[in-house]
Amino acid sequence: MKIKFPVPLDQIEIHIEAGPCFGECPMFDLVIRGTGEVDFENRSWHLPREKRSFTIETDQVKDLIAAAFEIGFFEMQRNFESETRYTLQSDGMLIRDNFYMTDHQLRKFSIKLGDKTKRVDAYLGYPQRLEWFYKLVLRVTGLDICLGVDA
Amino acid sequence: MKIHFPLDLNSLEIRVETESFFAPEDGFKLRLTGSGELEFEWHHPRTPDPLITRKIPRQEVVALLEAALEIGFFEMRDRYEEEVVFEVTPDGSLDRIQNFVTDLPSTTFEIRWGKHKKSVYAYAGYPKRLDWFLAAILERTGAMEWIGPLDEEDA
Repeated sequence: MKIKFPVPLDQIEIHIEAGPCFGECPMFDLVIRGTGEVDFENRSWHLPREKRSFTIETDQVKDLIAAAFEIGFFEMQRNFESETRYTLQSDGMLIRDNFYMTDHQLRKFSIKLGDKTKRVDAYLGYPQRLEWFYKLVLRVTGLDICLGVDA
Repeated sequence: MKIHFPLDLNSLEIRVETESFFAPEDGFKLRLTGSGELEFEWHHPRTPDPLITRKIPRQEVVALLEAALEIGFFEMRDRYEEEVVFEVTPDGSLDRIQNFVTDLPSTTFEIRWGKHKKSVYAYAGYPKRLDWFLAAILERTGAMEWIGPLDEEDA
């Protein structure tokens, strides 16, 4: 995905929606705008429901966008929905098997930069760097504490 | 670029070449085949033998291919040559500034399979996970024992 810079801050948006799972995983909807405005809705059934808006520094948003580039977010595949395992056969053929499982958490990421929006749905088998980015976003916004995420 | 499975591991080859302008003796070439044959060429005064060969288990090659897939190697750009800095401008925009730098060491990674190949030239502004991948290659092939650990910052 080719993105043209500069991008006006009001045309930048990072959106993460974390869905339910079998257990106590944090469910929420989070929107961070390039101007630093943050809208957060805690949807976790095991935590107090809340909606709140606050701001972070525009430099922090910049750092999150830089992190998204660092992890190759804009080149990632659209969906990660299965675990992958590789098996080497005796004839030297390497087989890839996909395993589908239920009751895990679906995290929907999207980042809008100007007129381009990149979406990644992460359910299973997604790269560790996406988990790192998820935790970074929660740490930068300070939401890791109220959601009980070890970021 | 996508890698398709099933894959004949015998057709796989991983190559790494490092170059350093200021310390050319630090540069090395590594070639690992899918069957586990390793060639490590290093003309450093510290090593008595500039060409070391050994065989490693094929599972280590599989682990390195998995590492390449994990870091999104096949989706990376072919060349990383400029430092990239993001900046919030006074007019309220996010800009991406590219700075050209000289005299840095470089690493070229190449993975071949069948008639296909993907290479990445990492000089400046490349994703840090390439350093992790390099460390994994050196550890799993045993080359780390010959050249010593990478700087903590690099690894």
